[in-house]
Amino acid sequence: MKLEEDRVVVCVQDFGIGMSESVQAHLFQRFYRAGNSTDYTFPGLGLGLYISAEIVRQHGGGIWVESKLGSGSTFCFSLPLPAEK
Amino acid sequence: MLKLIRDELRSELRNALYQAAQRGLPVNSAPLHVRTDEGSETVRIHVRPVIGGPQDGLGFLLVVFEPATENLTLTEQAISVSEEDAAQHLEEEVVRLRAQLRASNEQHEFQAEELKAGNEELQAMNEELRSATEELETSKEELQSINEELSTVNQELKVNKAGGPESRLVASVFLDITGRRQAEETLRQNENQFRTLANAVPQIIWSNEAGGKANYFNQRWYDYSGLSYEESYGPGWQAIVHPEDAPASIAHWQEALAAGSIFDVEYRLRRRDGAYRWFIGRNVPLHDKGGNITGWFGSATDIEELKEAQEAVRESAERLRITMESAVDYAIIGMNPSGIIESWSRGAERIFNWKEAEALDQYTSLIFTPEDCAKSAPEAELQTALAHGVALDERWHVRKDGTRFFMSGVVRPIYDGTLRGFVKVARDLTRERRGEELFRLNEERYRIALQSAEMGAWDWDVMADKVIWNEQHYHILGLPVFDTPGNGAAFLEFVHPDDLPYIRSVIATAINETGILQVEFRIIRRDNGEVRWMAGFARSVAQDENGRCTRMIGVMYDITERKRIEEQKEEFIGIASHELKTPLTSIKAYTEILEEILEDEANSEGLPLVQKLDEQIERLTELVRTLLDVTAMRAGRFELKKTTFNLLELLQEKAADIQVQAPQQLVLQGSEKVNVRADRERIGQVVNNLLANEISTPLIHKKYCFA
Repeated sequence: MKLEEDRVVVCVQDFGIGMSESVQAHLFQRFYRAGNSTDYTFPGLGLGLYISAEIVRQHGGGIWVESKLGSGSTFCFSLPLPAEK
Repeated sequence: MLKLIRDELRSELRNALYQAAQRGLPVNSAPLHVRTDEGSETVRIHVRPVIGGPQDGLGFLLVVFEPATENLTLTEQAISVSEEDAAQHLEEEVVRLRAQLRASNEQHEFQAEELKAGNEELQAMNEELRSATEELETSKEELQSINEELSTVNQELKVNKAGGPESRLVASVFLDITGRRQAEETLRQNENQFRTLANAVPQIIWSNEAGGKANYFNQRWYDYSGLSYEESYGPGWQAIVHPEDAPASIAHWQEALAAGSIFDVEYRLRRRDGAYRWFIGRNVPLHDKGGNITGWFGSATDIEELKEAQEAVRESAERLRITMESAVDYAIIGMNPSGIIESWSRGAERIFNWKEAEALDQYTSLIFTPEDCAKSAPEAELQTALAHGVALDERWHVRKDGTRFFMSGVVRPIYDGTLRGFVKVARDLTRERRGEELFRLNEERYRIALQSAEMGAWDWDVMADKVIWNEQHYHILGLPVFDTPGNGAAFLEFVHPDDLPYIRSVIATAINETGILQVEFRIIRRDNGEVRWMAGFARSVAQDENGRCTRMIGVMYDITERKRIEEQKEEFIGIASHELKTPLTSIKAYTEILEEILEDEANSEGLPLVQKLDEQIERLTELVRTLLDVTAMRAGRFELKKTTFNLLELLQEKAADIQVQAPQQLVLQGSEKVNVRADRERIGQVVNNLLANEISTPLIHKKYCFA
């Protein structure tokens, strides 16, 4: 967790295999599943990130991923801080 | 005024004017009768000097014609014109007129005199010319007679020698000697004249004895050659002939000498400084009356500059020829005024496959297709060239083997005072033409592809804000085809008002940042007001130095049908989730009851199974909830229940849960208390999702850093 000027950023970082840019581009779309879409090895409807993104956006925040194939991924979201009163 | 006035008043008026002018006093005439159309009238003439007096005739005269009545206002101070006065003035006037006449007569005579003098001068000049001509004639005759005398003298000298002491001849000799002296004198004079002349001309002049020995040279020779008379004498001249030219020149001279014919040669002669210059040398035999050669007259004219000019012309012609020959990509064809081929370049040989020898003397139609020949295209081309100074030759031509190719060129007439012919310069454009065709074909393919995909295409010049749409684009918007709107603003008019802010923002982002536009939006058709869904994709194809897009090309196509199916799908998912939720709740409830019963019975076999069942029900419930969430979000029915809470606490909770569920290595960084105003449950869901996303990816050696 990191405090910035007018927002707070929460990041989840792994040290896995990471992912390609083309994968990253579709990550927040509905029903997107890494790998073959008919391969149900990985559980899930492919809606988790979509819903997360929608929730964050509804809060006026942002969600993104930073990743490089072979060097892990970092998923981040931000929330705006309430204005100082 | 005197001209204009009626006859019966003229003399009176003149008289009155004269008097008024002379005396400087007003003059009134007696009543005068005037015949008018109505009958007769009586008038008086009053003349009054207005300014100035009689001196120098300056000033104005006021003339009043007054119908004669009893009331004569102007007569008081006036002088009446008496008959006597009138006569006197008339006489004076006559005298004056006469004087004037004489003066003008004199003037005329003077001019005539001058004219005559001019004429005489001309005549005198003519005379002079004539006499000059005559003098010339005389001189010529004199020369002739001198010549004759000379020959006579010669003759008589011979006779004298041969004749000996015969007395009759002595007298004649005596006489003739007198003539000879005179002749000698004339000869000397002639010779002097000749020398002067010979030295005055720019040519080198010499003479040879009958046998060929050169015995006289003009000053120019000495100046040029730097040789002395002794050095030049006889065949001495040969020394300065260029070694390359000497053998031929000398041989030629010997021939001329032997034949007594004119010797004519071009050779280089060495100047005193060692430089050679080209000369035309000419030796003409001189004959006596009997036709015998008495000597030779020679001249050499410097033609070095002429040669240089010739050389320059030859060189430039050569250069032109080389240029023409090396321009193998171009056919350069010369024709005479009737279109007969007179020159045929290497390029023409290469392009048409006709050899020069084959093409020469052929009519220009040689390279035209039979169809064009039938249409008189070759003639039309030349006529156009004549009429406009140039004719375009852009047509299919034929090679020797009958194959055709597209050629582009021009035909121009060549003038040199009169029409000398035509020149055609042309290039084989087949390859370019093929390229053009290929390009057209490609364009056609794209057009067909876009049309069959029902895709509208556009090309936007961002800087000038000009948009070009294809046909389909107009169809999509419900506009008559090519009713061009011209710019971006015109397009935005079609966008659904609800989507407008969104469209504006994505366009701005594409232009200023990404260069890529990918968008779904609604338009309102112009023809029927129907709302249609559109998908748009575009890419920047040109950027300015700041990376800002200056030109963008894109497509737009109708996705209304897709959207409808999608909506149906959403609806189906919504309904399905709802329908699943109800039995699921019941199952969950029954499972809980079953669990309680088994616990009470302490059924160690059934209990773990029911717990597993419960887990699976939880999972199913979660899935259904997710689907319901998505449906709500899509339908815009998703609401947040915002509270103020500590984000760090939430993260700690979630981290603890994860640690329990799956004991991964998880490190939580950051310890600041941050209060946010948000939907605590939903944010928790986000955190769960992010963590679950990681965890559900089956990877070994994973390490999490939860910041």
